Amino acid sequence: MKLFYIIRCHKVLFLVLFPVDEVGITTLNRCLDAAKACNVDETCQKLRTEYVSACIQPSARSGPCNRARCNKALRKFFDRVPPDYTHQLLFCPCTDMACAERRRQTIIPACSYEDQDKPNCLAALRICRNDYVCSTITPNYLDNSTSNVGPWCSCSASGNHREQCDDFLEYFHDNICLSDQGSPTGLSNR
Amino acid sequence: ECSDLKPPCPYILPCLHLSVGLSVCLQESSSQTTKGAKSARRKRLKPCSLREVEVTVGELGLGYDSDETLLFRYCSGRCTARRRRNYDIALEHTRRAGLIKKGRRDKVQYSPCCRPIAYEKDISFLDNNSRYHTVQEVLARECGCA
Repeated sequence: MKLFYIIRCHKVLFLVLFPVDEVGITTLNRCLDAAKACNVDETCQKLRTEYVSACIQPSARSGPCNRARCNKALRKFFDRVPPDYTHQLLFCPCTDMACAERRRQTIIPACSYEDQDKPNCLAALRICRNDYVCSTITPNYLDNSTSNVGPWCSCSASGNHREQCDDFLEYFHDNICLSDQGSPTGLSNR
Repeated sequence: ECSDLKPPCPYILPCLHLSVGLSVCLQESSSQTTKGAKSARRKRLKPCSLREVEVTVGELGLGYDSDETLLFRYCSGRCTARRRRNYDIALEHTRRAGLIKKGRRDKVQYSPCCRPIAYEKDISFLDNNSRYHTVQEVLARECGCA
């Protein structure tokens, strides 16, 4: 009942302000559209299901989930599914929180991104350079209100390299390629 | 009088007085047409096959609050009488002969019907509260007359 009312409100607003597509229904949530496009494609749906299942499954040994297994399934998804689908899921433009939150959740950050501690960014970068599979500087959307992305790290404990560290983070934040006004480019998940 | 018939004949249909004191409404030579229309409809019915329809996860009625759209695959269509097994013939006969108890709730199927013979293992989605879920065996993968 409540959802229907909300849709009616949006429908009126969007009919006035934005052009309507052929079907007569305006697109409210581009990230939801991306999920639909993925669900309707056999490969995308199957591999998305695989990584979601791997990342939400609680692990007896290692806390909320098996992070290595989750990351492996995520890599498989991004390797095998055509970029048309994966880019649409990762870089869908958003104008509201619901959309942005969905976008932020794409890689299941609670498992693949967040951690109890935040390492120093430069230290993480060093590890990444020496690791074939670099997951220490996986970027993700930082919140559900902007399109700022960043790795799970901080610049505290940078010593003399504080400026270098801040520059590194700045590279991710306010990235013009990801702004909701600009068109997205292919940003690797690694 | 034909107007006394129960059920009453619509005034457009003629009625016939039978010698046993009953009156019947005559169907406008439509019994032939009805049968014809019915068999024409049966021929138009597609055979048992895998179909799909776009629905949201919420519309699946499984208790999830999610607006994600997916393709709900289901089985539908005609199972030809040809495919009746000896089992079906035997079941119908024993039931009609009263050898099998006939309860009101005890439904038996005398002929095969279109059902999935395999299901998709899992499907995952994000709900409207930003929680992911995986559900098992909700989509059909293959259909058969069983």
